Formats: sequence, C-alpha cells, structure tokens
Amino acid sequence: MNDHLGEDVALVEVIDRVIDKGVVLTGDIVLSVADIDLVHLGLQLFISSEDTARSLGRGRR
Amino acid sequence: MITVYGMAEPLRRPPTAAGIGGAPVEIVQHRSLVLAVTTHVSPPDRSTEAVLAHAGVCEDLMSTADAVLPVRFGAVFDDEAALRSSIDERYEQLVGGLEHVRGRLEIGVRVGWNRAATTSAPSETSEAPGDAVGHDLSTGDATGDAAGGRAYLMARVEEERRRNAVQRRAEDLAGRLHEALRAPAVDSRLLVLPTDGLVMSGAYLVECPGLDRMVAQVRETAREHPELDVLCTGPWPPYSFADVEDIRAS
Repeated sequence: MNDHLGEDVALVEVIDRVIDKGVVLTGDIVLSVADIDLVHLGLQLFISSEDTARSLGRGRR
Repeated sequence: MITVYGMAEPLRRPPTAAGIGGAPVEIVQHRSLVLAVTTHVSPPDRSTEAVLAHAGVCEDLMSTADAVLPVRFGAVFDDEAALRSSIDERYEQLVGGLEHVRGRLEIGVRVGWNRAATTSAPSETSEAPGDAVGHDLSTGDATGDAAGGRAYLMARVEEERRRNAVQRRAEDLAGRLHEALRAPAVDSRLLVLPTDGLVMSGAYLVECPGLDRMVAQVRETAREHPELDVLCTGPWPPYSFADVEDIRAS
C-alpha cells in the first residue's frame, strides 16, 4: 500500500467523523463545510491491513 | 465567538493541542463538565485544516481524560452565556453520554465490495421512445410512444430489481459481519450500504483493555471474507457514540 493512499483514507475517516458525528448542541450556528463532499470522496479504495490503518488513526495528532 | 470541540470529565491536565487557526485551547468549566473551546473574533474557517484541528483537539482530550464526548464540527456560540445555556438544556443527557463512553474507545470498520469481483454499474441506458418498434401509418406515433414508454418502464423495473437485489445482499452480508464484529464491543452502530461501493460502515465502542480482542475479531472477519475489502481504523474518540439523545441518562 502506498503511503499517499493511506493518508487519503485516513483523511476521509477523520472528516466523516468530525463533520457527521459528535454531540449536536442546540442553539449553535452550525457551519456547513462547503468544499467537502460528505459521504464522499466515495472511499474508492480500501486497505486490507488493519494494522496500517490503525497506526494512521493514531498518527493524526 | 466561541467554538466548542468536545467535553470531558474530569481533565487530568490542560489541553496542549492548538485549535482552529492555531488558536489556543481554553477550558470552560460548567457544572461537572469541562469544555474545550477556542475564542475567535469572526466565525472560524471551515477548511480541511480546520476539521483536522478539531479532530486534533478531541484526540488530545482523549489522552487527558477517561470520558470524552466530541462535539460535532461547527458548533459556534456568540458568547459563553449562550454556550452554558445550550449545555444546560441537555446537561443530564451529556452526563449520561459521558458515563457511557468512559474508559472506552471507538473502532471503525468499513467493508467494501471487492472491485475485482463486482461489476454492477447501474444501467442508465434505456431505449429511446419511438425506436423500439417500426412506425405504422394505421396506428401512428401513439403506438411508437407507447412501445417506447414500455421499454423505458421495463428498464426502470429491471434497474429497480437490480437495486433491490444489491440491497438484500448487502443487508444479509452486513448483518452477519456486524454480528461477529460487535461481539467484543459494548455498543455499536451500523450503516448498511452508506455508498454504492460500501457494504457497510460500522462503529464499535470498545473497553480500552479489549482493544486487542476487537482488532483480532476484525482480522478474523477479513480472513473469512477474502472476497471483501475490510478497513479497520482507530482507535478514535467516541464520535459515533456521542448521539446523546439516544442515551438514557440512567
């Protein structure tokens, strides 16, 4: 698996969670993210090695 | 303006990650809850960088607290009073939500149809009206249109049938996979066919010590289904389990 692909998938996973999940507080001004197509980027590609993906999830800090 | 990233209870040390636009993360204590926020003079930008900064703050919170509820990206309040009042509206649910995720992490599993094994592009083509049969003076264009309409309807029916078949196959497959995957988890969320390319997307809430068991379960599932693409991600802050309305504060 090439690293660039792994980065892309990790990015989709992060964006999917941050924009679409999490506590919704009423009374707030919800900003839409215009330039990010939510369900998206289609996730055209997959990684079969969960170890790699796992480390990517951790690497995003 | 105040942007909220997440809430925790309690916090062992102050957050160190920077917020959106590099703004320093501040703490707002409200009753038993600790809120991670940043202050901005204008609504913060909503770029990919901002989304990643939001994720970074939530992950930082995870390393400083046993119970963290991420807030959805884009929660902006005019001032602290507005924020406090919004928290008050659902305080009990938030406390219940925090208890539910205490000492637990989220693991994501996406399962895709293997592209090499699947060729099921939806058919957009249908015969053009009038092309299906030859015209006849005695019946006129009406018959041609009717035949064309019939061909169109047949194509629609066929497409509908194909979609239903894919839906049934995905539901059956996802149901079986999810049943196995959720065994090591204390809670789970399942989406069947979130996109055409995905059989399912699952989120699994796992006790920290049970993380290895969860990963082993995913690995086994992937091994049992070489015909599918299995992607496991995490551990994440429990984004998918922060749907506090669904949690009864017990």
